Amino acid sequence: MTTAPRPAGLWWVYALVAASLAATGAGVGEALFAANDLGNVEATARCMASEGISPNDSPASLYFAKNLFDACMETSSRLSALTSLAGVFGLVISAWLLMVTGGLAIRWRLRSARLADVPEEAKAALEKRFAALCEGDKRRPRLVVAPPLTGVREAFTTAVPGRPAWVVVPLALAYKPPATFDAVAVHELGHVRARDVMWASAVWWSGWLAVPALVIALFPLLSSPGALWTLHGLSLVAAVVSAIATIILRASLLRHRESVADAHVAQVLADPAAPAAYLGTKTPAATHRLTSIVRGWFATHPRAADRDGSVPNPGHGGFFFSAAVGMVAMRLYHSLDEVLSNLVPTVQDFVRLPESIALIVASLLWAAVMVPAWTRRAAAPTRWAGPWAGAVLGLVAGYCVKPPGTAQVVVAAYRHHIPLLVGVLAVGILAAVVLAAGVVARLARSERRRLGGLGAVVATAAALTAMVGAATSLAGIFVYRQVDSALIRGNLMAGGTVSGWGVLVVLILGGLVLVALGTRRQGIGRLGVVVVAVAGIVGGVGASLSWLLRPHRDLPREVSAVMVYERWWICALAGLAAAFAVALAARRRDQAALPTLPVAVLSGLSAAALAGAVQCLVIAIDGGRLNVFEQSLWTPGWLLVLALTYTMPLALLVSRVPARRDQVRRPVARWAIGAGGVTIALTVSLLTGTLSWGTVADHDYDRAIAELAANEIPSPPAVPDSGRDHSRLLDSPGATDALSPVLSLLPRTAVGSDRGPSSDVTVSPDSCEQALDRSAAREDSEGKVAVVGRDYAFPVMEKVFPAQVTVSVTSFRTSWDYLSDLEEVARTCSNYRLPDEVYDGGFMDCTWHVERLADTPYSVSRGHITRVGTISGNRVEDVITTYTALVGHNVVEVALVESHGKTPPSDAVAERLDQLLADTLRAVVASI
Amino acid sequence: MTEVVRPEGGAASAGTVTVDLPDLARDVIARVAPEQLDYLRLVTEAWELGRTRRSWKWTGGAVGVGNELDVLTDVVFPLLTSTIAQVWGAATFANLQRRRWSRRKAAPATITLDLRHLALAHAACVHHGTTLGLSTAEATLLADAFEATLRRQADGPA
Repeated sequence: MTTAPRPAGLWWVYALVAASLAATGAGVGEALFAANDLGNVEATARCMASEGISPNDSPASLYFAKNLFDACMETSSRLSALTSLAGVFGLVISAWLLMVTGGLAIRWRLRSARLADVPEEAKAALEKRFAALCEGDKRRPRLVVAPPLTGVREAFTTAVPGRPAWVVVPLALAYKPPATFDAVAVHELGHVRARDVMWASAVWWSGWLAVPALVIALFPLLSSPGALWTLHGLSLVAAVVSAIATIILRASLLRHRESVADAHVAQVLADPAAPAAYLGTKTPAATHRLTSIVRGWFATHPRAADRDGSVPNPGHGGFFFSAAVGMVAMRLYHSLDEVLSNLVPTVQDFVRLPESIALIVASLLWAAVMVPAWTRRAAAPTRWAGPWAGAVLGLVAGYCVKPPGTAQVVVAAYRHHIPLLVGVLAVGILAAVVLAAGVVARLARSERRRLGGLGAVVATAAALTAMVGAATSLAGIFVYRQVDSALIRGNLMAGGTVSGWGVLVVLILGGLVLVALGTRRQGIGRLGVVVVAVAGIVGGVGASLSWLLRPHRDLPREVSAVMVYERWWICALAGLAAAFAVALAARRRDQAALPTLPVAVLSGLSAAALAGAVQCLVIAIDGGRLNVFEQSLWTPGWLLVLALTYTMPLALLVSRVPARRDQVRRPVARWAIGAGGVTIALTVSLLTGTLSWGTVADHDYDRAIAELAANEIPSPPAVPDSGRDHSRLLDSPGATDALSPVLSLLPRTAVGSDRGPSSDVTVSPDSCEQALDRSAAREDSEGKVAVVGRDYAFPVMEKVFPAQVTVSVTSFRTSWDYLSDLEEVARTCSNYRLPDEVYDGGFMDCTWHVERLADTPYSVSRGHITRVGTISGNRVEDVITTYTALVGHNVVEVALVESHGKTPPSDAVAERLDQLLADTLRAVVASI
Repeated sequence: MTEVVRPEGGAASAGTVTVDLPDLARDVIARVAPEQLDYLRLVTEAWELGRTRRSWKWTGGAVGVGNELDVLTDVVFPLLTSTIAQVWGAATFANLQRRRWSRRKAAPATITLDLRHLALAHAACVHHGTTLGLSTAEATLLADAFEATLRRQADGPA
């Protein structure tokens, strides 16, 4: 007899069980909330009706009423979140209690009184042998010899948390050869040492709990089967399918653990045939093939013929396992998103924050489970088609079908676009999955897996997060907008810049660096460095020349946007060339191509970043203003990720072609020259429009810029003919009367106040300060008869600073060209610095632009001032939009000050605010 | 206690034997595995109370070897009952079933067997033995013991 190492624990099963129970619990909580009207829908609806909010209001309308909307929904949202949390804890605690109860029930059945019949002599003999077998165990389990009256015919292990495990054997073993008892006892000790009972019990109850818990939550609806089916039919089906799948997976995992326990017996007893002692000779009854297959799914033990005591392959990591992990991860995502959105509505300034947090957590769970499982799988020759298909299926299905009990909003929202959603999700997820497979294939060859494993989890989780985010963003535009190819390209590219997913590129890069460090011996060394350097520099120079050699100053925005994106795409294409060169060069004739994938992607990202840095430097020298991080790493990196996703089929195809020996031995210089040459060829193709289908095309931004322009210059404010002369000289009461309609135009929450005294500050540069002084002197010289101004503040959604509308009416003794003077000042002060002690450094950087609107019944200028500063490192931006009308003696100015942090208002809200300003101007002029 | 009943005026070969099942089981085990006789006492008690098998799988908290670890004594009752039911018919079988359903009935359940079917019973015993997980040799050993016990009892005390 030898001492065997303890079988590997299954921590990830507990992680999945906890995540699954949490997701299901949140769903059950939501079902409980909805079916029992815990949120008091009627009261919420009454509150909204009293505030004039309709469920059919557009998001832009709701924007102004956000505080009122929140006030009406506050109780309901909080209760919904708390009910979901109660569901989470309730289900987890219930599962725990059932686990404990199950163990206690067995102990009660086997209480001492029922064991009294066991002959002392037989019992003592077995206990003596058992004690010898337990030698070295820190927590020795108790041996229970069960007489026939207990009904125990099979040896088993049972456990209760915090107490020593019980190994229960039937008394019959005392009448069998001692070797049989040894084999049985060691088999059970294998389960004890691997702590198999607790996870098996946890999975068992997590599988069984979902359906009854959901039915209890939906109890009020049971009397209306039609409504129940309509509202929760999909949830109920999903719950049943999940329960069955969980039990099947548990059985699959148990079969593997039984084989591990058998191997434990063979190892400890130093006899490969030892397990045969307890396998028996019973011939299974002949059944129909289909019946046999289905029984096989639910069988918790392998067939006797398969239990030869050999160390089994890792039974997990295949199709079903991968599908289950993906499903659980996505359910956790949905539940977490739901709870966070309801619990902390105030964080919605960062609109996607709850969703982003949920997606990151879910991706981390997926990566943390899949990377070790697939690493073990990759240690032996394996086929990846099944695991990949399972992972894609689980993640896609998990995204589309929310946890049982929750409203199935994904299916409802995408209705006619489900195939599209499934398609783009599958492509994006497959890219992340292939990267994961490449990383684990590399890790499996390494002995130092800790560092590489950490990097693998980070890179894989970041890739999955980015891909799911980008894919759902892309699918979303098909639901809400009329789509053309330019919009698709724009959405994909913006995935790396606007929505924040681009920062994940840095995490992918960082993770791959750790993988490379953890698998140094498989590195490609000098070749990779040279290829990256050549491709990066060639790409950077190409991107710079594409900008410098073409007219690039004072271009229309739609043209310059295309040129900027072309620069970034050239950097990304340099990365693509480097990635393919490294992948091809790193192959060995006798090795699979998959392990080279991480190094290839790392090389590609490095080359893209280098190219980005080069073009960044050149553009900066040329006088351009750049965000170095965004332009060198973030955006080119993201575009490379897109390019790698596009070319994934090609990469997989290439990986199947064995490398020729002369190809492998080709000198480093040739690979580098090849990568540089391909970069140049791709650059030329891009600039001549050959690659425009998937990158950027000439007129991609025409529509977007036109929409922006339409938002910027609304229709000229028309003045209704009231029969009065609006250009007449006003006195102070007349000017005050002109402001009377303002409050009725603004949101209900607006509060008016008189303008406080303004304090003079000295701006820089001096030319601007002097222009402002001259303008003020001119105003004074023209003689102000009446000056009236009021500020109106109102909250705009959850902004920290309320929006402020300022309205003023000034009547001059003479009718002079106020607007030309204003435009002259703005030209002089197009860039200026405003002192303000609140901000870091004591100032804000400002820009000022004024333009005259055409075709208006009176002269109107529209001004746009931005003021940017940082407070404790946090960027704050004020956007001031002004409309100034000159009507004879009178100057009417309306201004909107809107402050925000990182997230500017959406287009719809910006448009609504602009319209509000124009309406106010029109009303004030009309009331003069 | 085994009682031999001879038909009035009938030949011994056409006779029947009335047996008490636990006694029959004890005689069989005494022939093939006498060291298990004290274990048989416990098995018989369990059989009489109907507690022959109990599953713990519903708790989800028991992980076992996947096979019942039976000795000959564990299978003797199912073997005898299934053999008798097959060979001597449903009426006999029903009698046994009633005994099991009325677990704590004090009166011993005796059954009467027609000795003309002993050869058939031997074959059935081997068949059921292998179905119950015994090897053919073990099943044949029990079948021999079963037949020998009945013949000896039919012949009366030596």
